[in-house]
Amino acid sequence: MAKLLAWHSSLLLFFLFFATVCFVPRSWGAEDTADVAKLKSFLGQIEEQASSVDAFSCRFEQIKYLAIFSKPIFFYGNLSIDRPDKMRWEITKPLPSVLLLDGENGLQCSAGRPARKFNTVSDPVMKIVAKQIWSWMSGDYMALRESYTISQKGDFGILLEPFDSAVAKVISSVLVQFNPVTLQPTSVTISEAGKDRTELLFTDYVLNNSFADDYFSKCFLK
Amino acid sequence: MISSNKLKWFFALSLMLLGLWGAKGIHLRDDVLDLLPGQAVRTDIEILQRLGLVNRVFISFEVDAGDVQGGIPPVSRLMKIAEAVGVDLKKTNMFREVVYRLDEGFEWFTYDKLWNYLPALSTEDDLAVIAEKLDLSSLEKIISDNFAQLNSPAGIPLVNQVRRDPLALIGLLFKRLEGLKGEFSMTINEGFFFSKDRKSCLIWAESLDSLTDSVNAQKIKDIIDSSLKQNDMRGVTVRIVGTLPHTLANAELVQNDLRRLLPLASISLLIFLLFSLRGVRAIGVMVIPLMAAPIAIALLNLIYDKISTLALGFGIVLMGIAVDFSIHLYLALSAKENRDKGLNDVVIPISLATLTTIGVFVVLLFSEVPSHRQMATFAIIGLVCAVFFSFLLIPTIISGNRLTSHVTVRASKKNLLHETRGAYLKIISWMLLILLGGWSWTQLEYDGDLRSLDVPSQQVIDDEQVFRKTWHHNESQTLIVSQGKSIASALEKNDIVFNKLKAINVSGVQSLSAILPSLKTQTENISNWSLFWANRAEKSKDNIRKIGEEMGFTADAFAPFFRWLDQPDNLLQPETLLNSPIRPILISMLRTPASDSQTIEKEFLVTTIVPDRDHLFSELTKVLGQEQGVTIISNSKWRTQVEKLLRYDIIRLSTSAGLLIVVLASLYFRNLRQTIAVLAPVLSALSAMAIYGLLTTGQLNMMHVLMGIMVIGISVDYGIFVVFANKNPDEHVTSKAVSICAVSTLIGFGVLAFADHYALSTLGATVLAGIGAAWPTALIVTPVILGARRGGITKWK
Repeated sequence: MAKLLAWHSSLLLFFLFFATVCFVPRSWGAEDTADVAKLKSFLGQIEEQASSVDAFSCRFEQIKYLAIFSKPIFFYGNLSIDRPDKMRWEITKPLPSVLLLDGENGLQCSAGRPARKFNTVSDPVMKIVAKQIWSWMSGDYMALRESYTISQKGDFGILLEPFDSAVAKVISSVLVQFNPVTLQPTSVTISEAGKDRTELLFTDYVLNNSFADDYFSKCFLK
Repeated sequence: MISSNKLKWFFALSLMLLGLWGAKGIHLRDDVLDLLPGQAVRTDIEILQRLGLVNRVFISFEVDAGDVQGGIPPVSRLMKIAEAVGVDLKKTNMFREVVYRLDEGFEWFTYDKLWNYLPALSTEDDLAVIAEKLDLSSLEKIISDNFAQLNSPAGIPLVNQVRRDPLALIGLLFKRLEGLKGEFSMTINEGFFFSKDRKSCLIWAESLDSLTDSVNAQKIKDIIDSSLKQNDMRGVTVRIVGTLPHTLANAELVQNDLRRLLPLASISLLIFLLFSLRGVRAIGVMVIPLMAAPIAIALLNLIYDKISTLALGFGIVLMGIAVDFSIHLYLALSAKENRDKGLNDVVIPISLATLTTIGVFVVLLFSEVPSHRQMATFAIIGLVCAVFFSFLLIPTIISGNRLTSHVTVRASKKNLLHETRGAYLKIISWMLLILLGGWSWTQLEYDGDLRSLDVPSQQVIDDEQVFRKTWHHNESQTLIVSQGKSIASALEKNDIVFNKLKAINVSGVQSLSAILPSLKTQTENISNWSLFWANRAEKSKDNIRKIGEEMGFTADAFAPFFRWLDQPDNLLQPETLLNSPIRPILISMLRTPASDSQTIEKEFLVTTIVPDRDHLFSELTKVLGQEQGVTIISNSKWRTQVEKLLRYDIIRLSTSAGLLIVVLASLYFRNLRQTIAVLAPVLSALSAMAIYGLLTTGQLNMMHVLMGIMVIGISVDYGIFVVFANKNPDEHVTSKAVSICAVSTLIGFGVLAFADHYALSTLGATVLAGIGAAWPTALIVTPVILGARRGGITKWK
């Protein structure tokens, strides 16, 4: 059960930046503190920016600080999203691999291994992965508010902290930083249980680009 | 002063009231077991009932994939409906189990709980797989995969899993659970059971009460319908499959038929009797024998705890034979001015006819089928009581009856029983009928398939076809049931079955042994596991550590796995699985005793499922036939076995009934000609039934043969009365009496020939053909065989 909740929360938070790029946030309701007003205003700006984006690509650098790793592990790759249900997460270095989502179908490929097809309905792990990805793709901030406390960090960052203690055992918080000018997410830091954390740095955004028809259904791994 | 007639009626009515009082506590039941012969077969179906297979109802909800109602996608709608209906069914307490989804967390049950029992579940094959993984090159690949996985989007929550199970041994458990897919092809979506195309969602439930009983079936149907009404079912097709729709379809058809035909038969019969017996006292002739029914039911209630509805229904029908005796008695008494003389003339033939008819039912007492035995008991008691009532009360309704003169006048014109003109033609025609009938019997096939008596509606047939296509429901399965007084012994037998099936390379086996072996087997597994790791643990740990460090893991990254290897091993108790989210998958394969205790219900049942293939049954019997407490139930073979037993039973009984009639007639008359004359209507009846059967379906089924036995009992009576009448030159009413009896039987049963239900129409047609031939034979051929003159010496013209 803890694992299920961990999945739920980790991917919920991990892909939060999609929400900030692509989603249309709902209204926050009747809170009237100054901080909330500021946060609402900030998210409003992001929302306005995000509502004009249907697809995008960017590069990412992932740094894993896990207790089980003897040193920080660096992975590099490209991320592409085509709303509402296509995603390509491609790691180019050091171990090339691709994770594709195309509606309910998915494909996991690693260099030198046979590709693994999965269905997000029947595969329990990928079901949760996809569910959370697409819950963010739908742009429903209200759903996030129901599970997480959202606060502003600095002028261009937001911090999410889970309500649920079981989730909090796996993910303690997620911090998203935005570019002051473009309002695109520049980094996502996921703080896990213990001292583990994952940092994602996003650069070289290309917005509203188009993709080949099979870009989200074939791995094209070399 | 109370007249003797009034005393007789008082006595009779008192007895009847006593009977009604005694009958009020009757326990009726509708159980398919009552229709089945042989203890072995009954035990098989008792097992099937205990496994819940007989009383299961399946409900399949279907939508069009693109049909979005109220903005809710079809899959979500189906889940909502399945949950709502499932919850409603559970609330009623009419079901032992209602399965509409797996509990939340079922996906993680394997990771969280079952993982701890891996050593107890691992077989030698599993250890061989693990040995391959521990090979250096395999280890490098596995650790590298772990590293990549941890750095993928799916990585964060997998940290603990990778630390605990770097070799992905959990896959061994997934494979086992995959193997328990059950009889349907489905995919699980958020715990709900969907077809592969996700257009259909399935729920099922096991009724506490028997669904072969139409009353219970209707109750369950009403509950389901009520639940469906409370939900938005727009665009959703509901298909209900299983025993329930068959029971209801058959019951509805029978009820419609009886509703339509019984009043017709009763009114026609009454009108006919009123007309032929010339007066309202005809009602008494019909009613007096039937007054014995409550007494017979009360006595039956004393003998049996529960009475089959079928036996009761048929028994009442069979009691109708007693009306024949009351007709003979009535006419005989009415025709004579001296009532005592009239009584003397009929008491012996009525007694002999009663004896032969009872004799036929005594034969039925030796049937292997419980409902036949009850039917016979009821008929015997009923007939005796009915004849007693007739002798007691019929004379009381004769006083001052003006029928006498009419009967005498009519009789003096022509007496068929003394007519022998055209004797040779009659005899030859009769013998031709017998020869044709005899030949027809040899051409008939016995259709023992009980399903031919099942008449489902077109809706039921269509629903089943779609259901099979949607869910790839495989009805052709062989079940191997291991029974034990304790769960431990049942599981041990199940393991033996599993190992033997493995030894003969049977594929497609679904066995609980894969996920819940007996504690004995688990202890052996743990011992093998310990032995396996004793030689490998330290070396493997070193290799994993070394390869991990090269990859970037810390030295203690896999410490949880190493600790797990060193931990004491746990035995998996059945309760752990039965209280887990995967319980719905298991309950049909593991049954625990119910709270009510009948012998078989005290035992634990563990089921193994194998595909029902040609020759597999005989192979299984060879391998497992000697195992105590193991029963093999193959759908197809079981049916064949039932049919064989039924055929044997029916042939034995009908032959015995025939022989008994011959023996009784021979013993009484001690004259070959008279014996043949008595039996002539019986031979005609059997021949006519055979010819009719050949001209129509070419087959006989159980209903034909049961009614044939009854027709033997009725038609021999015609012969008896005619033979007695032929001896008495002053006798004038027997031909009329026989005719009235025959016509009343033809009316009463003949209307059933027009029933829509196959079983009822078969019953009606059989009696029509049989009595239709027996009647003229008794009046035309029997006298010819006997001869025209008094004393029965032949002198044919």
